[in-house]
Amino acid sequence: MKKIKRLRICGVNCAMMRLSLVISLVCCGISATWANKTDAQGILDKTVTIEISNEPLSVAIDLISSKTKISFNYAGNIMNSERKVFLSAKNKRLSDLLDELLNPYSLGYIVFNDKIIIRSNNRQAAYNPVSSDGFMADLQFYSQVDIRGRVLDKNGDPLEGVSVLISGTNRGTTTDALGEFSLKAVDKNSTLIISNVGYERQTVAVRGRTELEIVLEPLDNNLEKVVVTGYQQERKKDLTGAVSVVNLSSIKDNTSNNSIQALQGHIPGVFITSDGNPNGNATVQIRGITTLNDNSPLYIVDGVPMKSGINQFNTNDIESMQVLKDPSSASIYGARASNGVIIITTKQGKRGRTSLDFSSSVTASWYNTKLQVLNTEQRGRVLWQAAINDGTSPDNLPIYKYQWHTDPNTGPILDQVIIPTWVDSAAGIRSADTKWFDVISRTGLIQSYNLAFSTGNDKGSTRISLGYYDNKGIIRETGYKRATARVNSEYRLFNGRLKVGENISLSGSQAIPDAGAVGLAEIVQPILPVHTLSGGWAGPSGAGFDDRDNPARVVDDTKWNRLSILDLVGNTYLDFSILKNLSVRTNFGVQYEGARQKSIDKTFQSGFLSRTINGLTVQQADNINWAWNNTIDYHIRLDEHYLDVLGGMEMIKNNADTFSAYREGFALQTPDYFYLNAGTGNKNNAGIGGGYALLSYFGKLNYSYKDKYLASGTLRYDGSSRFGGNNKFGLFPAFSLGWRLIKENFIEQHLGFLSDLKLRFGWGQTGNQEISNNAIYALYIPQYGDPNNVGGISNGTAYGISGQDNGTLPSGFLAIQQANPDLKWETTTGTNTGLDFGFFNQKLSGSIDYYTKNTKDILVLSPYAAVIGDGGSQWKNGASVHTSGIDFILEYQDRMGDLSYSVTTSISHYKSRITRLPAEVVNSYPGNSEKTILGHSPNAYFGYIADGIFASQQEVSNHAMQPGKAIGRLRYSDLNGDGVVDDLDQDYIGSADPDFIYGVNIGVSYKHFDLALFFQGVQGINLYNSYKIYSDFTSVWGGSNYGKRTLDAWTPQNSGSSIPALTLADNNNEKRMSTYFVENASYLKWRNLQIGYNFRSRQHESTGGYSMRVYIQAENLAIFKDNKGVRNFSAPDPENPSSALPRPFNLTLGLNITL
Amino acid sequence: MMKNLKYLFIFCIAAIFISGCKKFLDYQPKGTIDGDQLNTPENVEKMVIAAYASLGNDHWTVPYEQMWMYGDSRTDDSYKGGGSLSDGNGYNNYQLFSYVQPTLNDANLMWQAIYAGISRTNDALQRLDMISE
Repeated sequence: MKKIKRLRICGVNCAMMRLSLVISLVCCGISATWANKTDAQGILDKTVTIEISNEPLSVAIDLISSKTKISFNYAGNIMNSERKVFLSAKNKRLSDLLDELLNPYSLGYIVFNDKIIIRSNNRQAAYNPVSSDGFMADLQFYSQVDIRGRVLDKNGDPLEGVSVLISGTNRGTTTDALGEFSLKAVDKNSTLIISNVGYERQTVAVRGRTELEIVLEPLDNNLEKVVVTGYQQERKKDLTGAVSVVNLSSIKDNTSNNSIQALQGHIPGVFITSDGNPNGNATVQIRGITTLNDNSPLYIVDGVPMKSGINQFNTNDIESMQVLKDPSSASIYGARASNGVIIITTKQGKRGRTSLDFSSSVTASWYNTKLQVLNTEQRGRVLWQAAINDGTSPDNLPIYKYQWHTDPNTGPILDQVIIPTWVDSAAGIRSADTKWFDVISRTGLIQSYNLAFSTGNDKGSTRISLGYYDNKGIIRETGYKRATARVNSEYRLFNGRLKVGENISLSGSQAIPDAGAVGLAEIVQPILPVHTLSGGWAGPSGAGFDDRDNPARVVDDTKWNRLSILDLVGNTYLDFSILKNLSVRTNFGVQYEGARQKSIDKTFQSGFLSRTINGLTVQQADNINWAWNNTIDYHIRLDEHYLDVLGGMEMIKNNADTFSAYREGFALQTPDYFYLNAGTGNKNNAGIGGGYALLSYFGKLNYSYKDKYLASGTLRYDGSSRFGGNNKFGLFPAFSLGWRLIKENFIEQHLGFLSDLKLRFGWGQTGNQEISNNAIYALYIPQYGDPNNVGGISNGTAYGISGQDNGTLPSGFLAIQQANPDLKWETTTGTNTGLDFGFFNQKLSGSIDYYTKNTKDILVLSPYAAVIGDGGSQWKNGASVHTSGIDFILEYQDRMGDLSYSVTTSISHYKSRITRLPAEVVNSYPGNSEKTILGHSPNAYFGYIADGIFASQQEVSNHAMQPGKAIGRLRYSDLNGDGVVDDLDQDYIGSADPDFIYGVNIGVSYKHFDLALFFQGVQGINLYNSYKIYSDFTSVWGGSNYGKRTLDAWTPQNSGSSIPALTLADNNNEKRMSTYFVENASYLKWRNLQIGYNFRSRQHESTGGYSMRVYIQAENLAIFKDNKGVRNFSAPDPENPSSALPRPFNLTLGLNITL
Repeated sequence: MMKNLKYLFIFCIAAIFISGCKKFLDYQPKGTIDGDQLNTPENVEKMVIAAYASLGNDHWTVPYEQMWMYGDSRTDDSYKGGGSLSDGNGYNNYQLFSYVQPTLNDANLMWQAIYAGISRTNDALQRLDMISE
């Protein structure tokens, strides 16, 4: 067994890198050698039956040649031996026969161009050939060289025990501890096969070289792979916690700027939800619900902890990503780890290689999930029907006029909807049939360019990368631009014992924030044109309109708004090996984020909506984090015991400052004029500050016996400024155990098809400190009292205590929060039981994990009785949540000749429930006097059960008392059977937690082509479809537009409809929360289809070899959802039920070049 | 050289490990006042001012702390006034002694305001006890 090395960095490899390595090292000649070998094998596999007795060697060769129809070439002098041949063979392979024949003469052979060339194994002899007719041409191919070489891993560390085999022979060797090997008298034109467990096999053409350096790439999903697990690295096979290693190659061409968003569906247990905002929004929840507060994980980028800003990183700079999912693995991060930890390591320069990578892609995107809304005529028709249903006269409806008559048999019949010519003739608003979704949307364009230069030698390495990303969203004017620059370097001194390095990244982004145009396009009436006749904005005018504004105006008037973010993230470190087994490391990292938002309120007139004074708001938020950690690591191997001890401390400080300034009255309305100084009107400003500090000590111990029994324990002692004086520090212990059954004799002997089998168990505690910086304090503020506060109690603290009643009065203080010196972190205690397995030499591999976690002392801000007076609210530790679930991942990879393929499937399930809430908080959650949220997920919906539509008067009469019940109206279940449908008939009617989430990733490569497919889905999730109140009801929002579904609403003639009859008054209170709105939002999305073609140059690397890949990719190709069920999803995209920016269909053309 | 460096290094690391102390976690809330900062004579006086501010110091549209609305409007001393009967409807109810119910929002807000005043007074008295002057 290879001894464990403390490899510096390793991780998931990127296919592009792999490609470039193969190209630069193997480079030319690979295909020629391959062909050669195939032919050679064919010839040598021929069988021969022959009888030779007492003949000279040359005669024997001639006899074989005539039998096999294969020509033999040789220099005459090597046949001079007196020794005679005695040979008897029956159906013997030619190779075996030749070995038997030639070995006694110290002769060997090679196959070239369908000929077998016989030559001496003795080099001198080979250099002294006798020229013979036609032989000189062949001779140059079988001259021989001595080769010395070195095999390294991708970090430049030597690999020991690597097998080096001369292709087509049995000759070979293995590398020594320095990764070096030497082979004597190797044919100049032969090919070496370099292979090692856990690495991709490589073939290298010798081509006369005597010095070779070979870099092996680790296999994906390999057990030997080293993963970063928190202040240290471990081999994947030694892991005992639940750690997912992200396969970055499957997301490398994703068009999202956010690598976390791109991971959606790839990692079991990681539930990522997202919308189509060009800035790459994504919400990450690892293993279900951990807390009632912030469930987002902690990110560690090159040792710097951060809670946000990952979308500011260039995905191309990421070398590896690991997800620590369970408390036993995440506990080393203590009071911030309970939501899981994502560890990101950025790319370093490679030792011994200089390369330049360029990649670019262009993507067009389309809006293919537009909601189906009514056009002008249809809206008139729907309103007419609603009025008829209500028994009121449609002639009194605003906006529309109707031609209709009453048929004595069938009732009222609409002949024609008369659309007025003018919505408002005075304002010049001519009626139209505007398709608002088309007005606000466009074909989006995403461009991405990346350039990286990397170099390195024994003394150090550097990687410099530049990136530019520009996403012009499918909603007009929205967009996101980002430029990134990164320099990572490392220097090695004292023979590599001292490593000093830095990683620094600067990124600037500029976004035009979403102005809510999608939500407006859903509800603004189509009768409004975009512009008035005079070119102004058309807007709601007169009766029949609500106060929602023209979406085109909103888009246009906000196009100068900017959210600019500057991120500086970097760390510098020093790593010193004091002794062979003892090393210390200090790492100082900083994350700075400055966000500046500029919001312009232009003056406008849009129907009866207007603004007469323009204004500018500028907000600036500065957030700076620094973290300094120091670790000491000692490892020792004694016989079959291996022990690794890590100790460390960490200091983290955060400071955040925000301010905003507002000014009114700008004489010009141009983007260049809107600066604060230019305004002449009212001013206002605001600003707050905050921060926190963490001080931590931690230790970790890994032990393994015979590589079979593994144990690991961690302890972290965390202090936080956010916790009360009585609970300043918390202790977070964890342990985990592993049993590599594959190493047991009975498995090795009887179950040879198994290549990996490991049982894991872990227990641990983690914390969550994500509460307000000031939560522990009793807080007071001076509140002078706003004389214009009309709506509520002024709560002023100023009083003319000395009798004055004008001027500035003396002011006191107002309590706003009560102290809680006992406040402490939330504690999550969890277990994880897992099984890793692999079959058939890891062709089929996977793991399954079952976990439970209990979070107690969840921080809640409790409401208070008014008797307490001012500021009675107080943060308390009180609630508990229980979550359990299963994560499963299965991967199959195989190769058939030139065809290689892999299929990876991940499925996960979780179930969460609130188990405890302080009595005063229970009512803050959905529930009634009989049912509380306890036992349900915090994401549960609470409401009535709509069990259909009243079809007849008899049904109406038979039903319990339900105010507003009538034919065509929704019927709500009388759950408790008391004859009245009231508050107590509500129940928990589904939750936004999915039953399971899954993803299937398929990769195929054949010769120069590669193909990738990715599907992702969510099953058994219920979501409140907030658009349904518009798509199905004319009774709730009077002046808005409605969905096409209203055309199919219930009427006596259309009694099969599940959509209640149209009405203008919601007498039945159908907008109430009920199962009518909570729909099955399960979906399966075909996320990705990609076809690539790889070019490989045939030059030697010294003359500028290159590799190139072009690809075409489609994203979000298809959505499969519930269209038929009782609670089918009635809007197009279950992933985005509300008015969030839609995820577009993307078509990409991309190019990667490596020099 | 190498050896010295080694000792220097060990010393540095040891220093680092020992250096972290509780002071690092000291933090003062920003932009608000921590209750402990108020125990000075000047600030206690301000607490008293705040207590007085709870008395009849509201904007005229929200006169919850101004007791006359609840008392005098029920007598002959005053009349609700306003734009119409529905302007401040709750007070109209008080005036007419009709539909006066504990659930009236005007009543709730009045009590809320009064208790806020009481809490300010108690807070000021408590802090007064804590200072020695």
